Amino acid sequence: MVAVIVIAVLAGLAFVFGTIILKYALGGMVISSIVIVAAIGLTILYGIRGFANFAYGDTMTLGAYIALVLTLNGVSLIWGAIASFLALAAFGIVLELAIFSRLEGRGPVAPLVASVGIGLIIQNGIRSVAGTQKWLYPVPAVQDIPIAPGLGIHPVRGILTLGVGLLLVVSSHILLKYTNLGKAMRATADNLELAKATGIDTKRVTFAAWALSSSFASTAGVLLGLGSALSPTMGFEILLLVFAAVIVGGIGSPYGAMLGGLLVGLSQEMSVPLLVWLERPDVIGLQFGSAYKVAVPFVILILVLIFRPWGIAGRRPAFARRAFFIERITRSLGEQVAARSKGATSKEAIKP
Amino acid sequence: MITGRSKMSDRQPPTSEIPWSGIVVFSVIGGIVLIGILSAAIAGATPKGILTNLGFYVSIAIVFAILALGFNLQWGYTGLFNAGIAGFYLIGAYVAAFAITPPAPPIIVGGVVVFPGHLGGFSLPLPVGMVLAMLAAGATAAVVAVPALRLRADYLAIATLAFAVILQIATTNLQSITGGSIGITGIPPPIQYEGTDAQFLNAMTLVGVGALILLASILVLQFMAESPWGRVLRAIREDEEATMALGKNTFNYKLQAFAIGGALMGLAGALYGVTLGYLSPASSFAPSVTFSVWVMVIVGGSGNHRGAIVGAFLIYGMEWISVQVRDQAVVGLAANYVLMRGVFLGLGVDALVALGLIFVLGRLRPGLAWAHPLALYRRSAVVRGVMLTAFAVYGVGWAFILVEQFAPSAVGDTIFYTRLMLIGVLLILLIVYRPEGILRERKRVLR
Repeated sequence: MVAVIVIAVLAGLAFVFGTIILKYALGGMVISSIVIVAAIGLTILYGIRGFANFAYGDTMTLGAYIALVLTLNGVSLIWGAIASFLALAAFGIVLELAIFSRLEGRGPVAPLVASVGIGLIIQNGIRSVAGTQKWLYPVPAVQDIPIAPGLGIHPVRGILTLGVGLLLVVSSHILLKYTNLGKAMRATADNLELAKATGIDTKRVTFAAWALSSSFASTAGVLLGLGSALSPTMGFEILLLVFAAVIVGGIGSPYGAMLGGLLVGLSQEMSVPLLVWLERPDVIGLQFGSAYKVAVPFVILILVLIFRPWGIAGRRPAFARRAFFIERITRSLGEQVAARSKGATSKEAIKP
Repeated sequence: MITGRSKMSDRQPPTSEIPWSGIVVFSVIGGIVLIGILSAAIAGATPKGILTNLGFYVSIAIVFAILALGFNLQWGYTGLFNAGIAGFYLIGAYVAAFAITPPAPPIIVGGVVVFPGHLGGFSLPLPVGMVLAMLAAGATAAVVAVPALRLRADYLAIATLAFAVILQIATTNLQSITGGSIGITGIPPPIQYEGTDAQFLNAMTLVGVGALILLASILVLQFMAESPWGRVLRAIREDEEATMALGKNTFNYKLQAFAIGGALMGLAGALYGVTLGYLSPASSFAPSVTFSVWVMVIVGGSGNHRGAIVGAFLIYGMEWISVQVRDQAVVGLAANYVLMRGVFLGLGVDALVALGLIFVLGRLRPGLAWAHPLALYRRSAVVRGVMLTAFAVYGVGWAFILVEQFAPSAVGDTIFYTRLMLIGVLLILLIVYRPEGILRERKRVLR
């Protein structure tokens, strides 16, 4: 359904603006597939562990650099990526064991701060070991495959990225929908206490969430490095985009993250023609308009946070917050009044 | 009141009279200053040069202290986790710069923009610029707060971070207004000095101005925090719903705290521009500034002003020292590299051998059971300290070898980045083991 709508919209755009718009759309799809992979990992962890992991971007960088180190030692990139996937799964579990299990029940801010600390350690560890220069994966030099006049797709940067993104989306869908672990994960993300009460081993689910989240970060990092070059800050630079995708889709909902990632990636790339149009002196005369494409997803993020904080695909909370407060306050006032009216008699009853 | 306090103190566990945490903090800051002086002396600086350098440290640390005070009002007192500190800081810095700089028209040579210039150039006096900066940053904070404060803590963090990043992108690209990536240069200092001593006198003036502003902010904040208004803020932090139920409009209080905190950050920005003399959006207003301020408040201890200030001096001190060591002492260090590696490794090995000997002796003679290293370790704090130091010295020796192996040319850079890693480690350790910070908030007991 969604695919049909997307294709119809793209065909309409191409009809109106020419094939140039398809180039931006394709770029947006490639960015989207990276963001979606990262956002699925981040949202699963967010849903189950209940905090915003600011180290996620740096986890992506770490995954990319692990794969880089392996490829520099003669391993092929695919095996390097798989090894980095497994290594980061273990890394995630170690993080939970060593740090985050100690911060359980301390609200969302304490683990957030700890994750910033982890991000600083990873980012600067990479800086001091690998230096600040840009590294490249050994990708064979191939030409773009032409699709339409003026429109081509790179076999590695385009098709491979899209393919890996699709593969991970499908496999995470199968995991969440058809396996017991996936069902347990969704249940835990939905309601931790209820999941515990039904006998789900939430500890195991937490470890699985960490492993899955970190390993998805690794793959997203490798794809990101494949698209351009590896630098110590590459993950942190894309982190807000991933957050935007997660929040736009609704926190804790992997399907929302897919939708959010698509929206965020496409809006970023497809805003370029609009921004270029704004650059024209007779419109606004904006300087360096296309530099603002990075800000477009954040504008969407802020709008979603203001008007639909539960996300475009998420479920609206059962009680709107204000109604909840009003109910609570009236109830407590009622209790006070009741206690006061009963006060005299009950006090005498308690006293021996 | 007095009787109430004494009654409560009976129930509380006895606390030590000696303020250990304060002593530790001030000796560490003293150590930072000492290392700075030493590394400058190694590089052969004059006393005046060293003092200028130290003055720079103090004035930037004061800027960070004001930032930390603003964040402390928002988070430490009210519980609003702001991740857009860099954004309000940026607004203050630029507004003040627009107000106090002389006019800077763009220079265009043959249709190519050589120097973009920037908005403003009103040559207003510094206090006016600072007030304008506070007003602009405070108003922006209020505007941001109206939608953002309805959000939960972590959503608030992400929304404010996004705001700061958008602002940074806009500042970098709106060339005709902000000067773009070139930034703003030629921000006049408080007093224009002439002659050879100008730099030294300027540094000293900046320290004085900064100290005055810091003192004023502390006094005002102390008054506000102790007033009924501050009490409501703390109540919101502890339990917002209960505060609401008591009839307080918590949203208004949160909005006020957020706006005043934002205004303080703007003031810090204004002071920063004056201290440095120029502004560039790339590094000074990056999200890492926000993280630094978090660390300062968490390390120092949230919810009290002393903690925020001490944290600022401590954490910025670490940064400053790493730059000092990188720029000045590394030259001397690299020359004595092999020697130092040998000294550290040799001392470490000797200490380890000694420990091994003690262990063997303890095994040989049943009467010497106390000489077993584990028994010694448990026996006294002094022995424990000696043993740990031995291992640490040995570790430093190995660190030299590792650095030589992996990054031979980048010793200085490694020190610089290791500092940031150390901040990360500190952040994690503190949040896990001592979330109240080094200087904890005074327990307030009401009867």
